[in-house]
Amino acid sequence: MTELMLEATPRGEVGKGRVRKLRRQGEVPAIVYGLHEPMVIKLDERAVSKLVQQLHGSERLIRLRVQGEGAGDKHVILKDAQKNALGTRLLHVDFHEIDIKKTIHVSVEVRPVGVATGVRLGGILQTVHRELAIECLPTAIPEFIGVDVTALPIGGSIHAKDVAMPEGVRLLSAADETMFVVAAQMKEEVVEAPVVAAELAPAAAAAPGVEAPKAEPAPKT
Amino acid sequence: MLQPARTKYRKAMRGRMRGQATRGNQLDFGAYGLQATECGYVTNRQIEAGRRALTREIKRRGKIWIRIYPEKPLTSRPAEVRMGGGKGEVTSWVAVVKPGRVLFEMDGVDEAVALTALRLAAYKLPVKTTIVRRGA
Repeated sequence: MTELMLEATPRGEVGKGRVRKLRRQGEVPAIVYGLHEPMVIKLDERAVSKLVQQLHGSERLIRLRVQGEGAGDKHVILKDAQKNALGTRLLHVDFHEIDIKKTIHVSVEVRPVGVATGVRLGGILQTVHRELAIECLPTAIPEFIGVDVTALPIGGSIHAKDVAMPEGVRLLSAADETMFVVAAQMKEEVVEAPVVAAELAPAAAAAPGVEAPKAEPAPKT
Repeated sequence: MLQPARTKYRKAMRGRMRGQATRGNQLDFGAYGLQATECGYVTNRQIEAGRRALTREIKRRGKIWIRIYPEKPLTSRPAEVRMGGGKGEVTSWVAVVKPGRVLFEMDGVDEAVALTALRLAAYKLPVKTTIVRRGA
C-alpha cells in the first residue's frame, strides 16, 4: 500500500468571509482533531482534490505534513469532505488524527472481482452495500477489499461473512449484511397512472373551453 | 406516468427556485447518474421519456433509479378564455429541480452503455445536465 501524503499550513483565517477569500486563492480550509487540540489548517486545492478522488470515500492512513507553526507530521484519516452542490469544488475537509499503534474502526470499499456465472447467463450483478466496517491497525487499512464473485449463480448472493478479510483485519459489519446479488433480468415496467383522488376528479371532468359563469363581465347600463 | 395518488391541496402556488440542491445531490444507489446543472420544472412526461430512453438503451439489463418525483401540480387556463373565474385546472405534474439534483441513477451496465443511455435521457429533459460517476 502506498502511503498518502499531504502538505498543510496552519491558518489564522476563520469565519466565512476570510474562508471564502482562501477558497478564491485556490486553497481549501480544513481542520485536524483527535489526539491533540483541534488545529485549523489550509491545503492546496489541487492536491487535496486529487487525494479525495483517490480515496473513493474510503478511510486510509494519510501523513499530513504541517509546515510553519506547530510543524511536524501527523497521522490522520479523512473523516469528511464537504463539496458544493454540483460536487465540483471542495469546501472544507475534516481530518481525524490517530495513534498508529492502536486499532481503529474504519469503513473500506468492497469491489467485485471477476464476472459472475449468473451474469454470463443473463443476470445482473447488483451491489447492495459498497462498504464494510472493519477494525484494524491504521497501517493495515486496505485500499479496498476485493470479493470474488465468479461462482455466483442467478439468485445467488454474497454476505459480509463470506468476504475474506485481509490479515490483521476484523469485520465489524453485521455478518448477514448482503453485499452482492445476481438478479434475473428485469422486465419492462409499465408505470400506470394511479387513480386520481376524488378531490381531483371533478377538476378532470370539467370540460375545457367552458368559461365559468362568474367570469362573465356584467353588462354596463 | 408518475403522479401523486392524492394530495392535501388540489392546486399549488408557483414558488421560487432559488439556490442549489442541498439534498439528493449525490449518487446514492448506482454507479452513474444524471445531475442537473440548472433549475427548472421537469414534468412527469419528461421523466417517463427519460426512463424509457434509459431502459431501451440498456436493453433492460441494468438497474435504474428515478430520484425525482413530480409532486407539484401545474394549472393552466383553457384557450381563448377571458380572465377571471378563478385559477385554472391542473394540467400537469412537475418536479422542481435545482442545480446539483441527481435525476436518474444507473448501475449494472458497462460505462460506455451507461454514458450513451444517460446522454439520450438528457435530451428528453428541459434542464441542462451533466453525467456523474461514483468516486469521481
